[in-house]
Amino acid sequence: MGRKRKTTEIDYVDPDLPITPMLDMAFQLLAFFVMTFNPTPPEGHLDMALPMVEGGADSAPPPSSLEEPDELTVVVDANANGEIAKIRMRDKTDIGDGQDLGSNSQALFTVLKERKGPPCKVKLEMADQLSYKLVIKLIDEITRAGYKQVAPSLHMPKK
Amino acid sequence: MSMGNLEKCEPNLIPMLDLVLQLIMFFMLVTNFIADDLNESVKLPHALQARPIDKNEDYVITLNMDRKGRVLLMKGNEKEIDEALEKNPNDPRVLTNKLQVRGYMANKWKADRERRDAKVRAGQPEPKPALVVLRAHQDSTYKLVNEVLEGCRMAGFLDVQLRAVVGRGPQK
Repeated sequence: MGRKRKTTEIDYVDPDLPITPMLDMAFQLLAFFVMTFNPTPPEGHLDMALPMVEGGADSAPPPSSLEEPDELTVVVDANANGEIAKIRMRDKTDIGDGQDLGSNSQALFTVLKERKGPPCKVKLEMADQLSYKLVIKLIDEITRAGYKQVAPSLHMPKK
Repeated sequence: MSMGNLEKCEPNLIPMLDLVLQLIMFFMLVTNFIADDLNESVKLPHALQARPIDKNEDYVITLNMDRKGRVLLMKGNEKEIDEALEKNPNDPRVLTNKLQVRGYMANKWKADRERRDAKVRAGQPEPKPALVVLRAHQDSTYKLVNEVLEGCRMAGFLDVQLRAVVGRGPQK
């Protein structure tokens, strides 16, 4: 006796996911992000050591780096346009104005790079009218030469 | 008359959606929503040795200084700052001299002191004092920057970083 196989029909459902509204929404989000996108240049920082205030800020803890004596002093004079007029460098053994490095900050890098001995703290005395752009350039050159501790201060010319 | 074969013609939108979602992902990742401390009118100088910002700092105080040496506690360009000062020369959102900077930073020092004391009271090790980040305009002078630094120093902040754009900068 032949057995008749009952065939079951599977009802395949074609899922119809509405893509168009999703795409619309995605485009709106994209438009929002494109319009609010504001690429900022990558910022970094240059560390420096601030000296203690004479007679003030008792509550401020003295940073350890400032307990050491200044070994190297770089004096930067500026002209009326805020450009570097003259760079002089002296260490604690020098008497007088120290070594004249001209007006090129690259010379400062070269001299510091060739200097013997371990890097020490550099006191950077700058004229008040010196452009801030050049201040950063000088700190950059000193740091590039391997001297990580830079203490900027105002240069008071002798009268 | 024959009508031809009327087949439904639909563009395949799924790859397009994929692409758009990827673009959204990119913009979401690179968009910086937390830029409240940064004043975009302050153009920073360039430095090759500028190190990446340490995001692990507990408490950072950011000061934006424009080319005239004014510390800006408000958003806006130079013209808007001038207008604000014209309306109110003592606008608390703009610090125009060393004494004002000192007063502002002294308040910050007090708040920072309380923050550190609270941590100590909670049995945690005392955190280091807040870090001051100075974003000064590249066209200002050292005298103006030094006045702000003096104000910070007199208030007690000795840990100061100068902010710069990483790179060589435009060549003359």
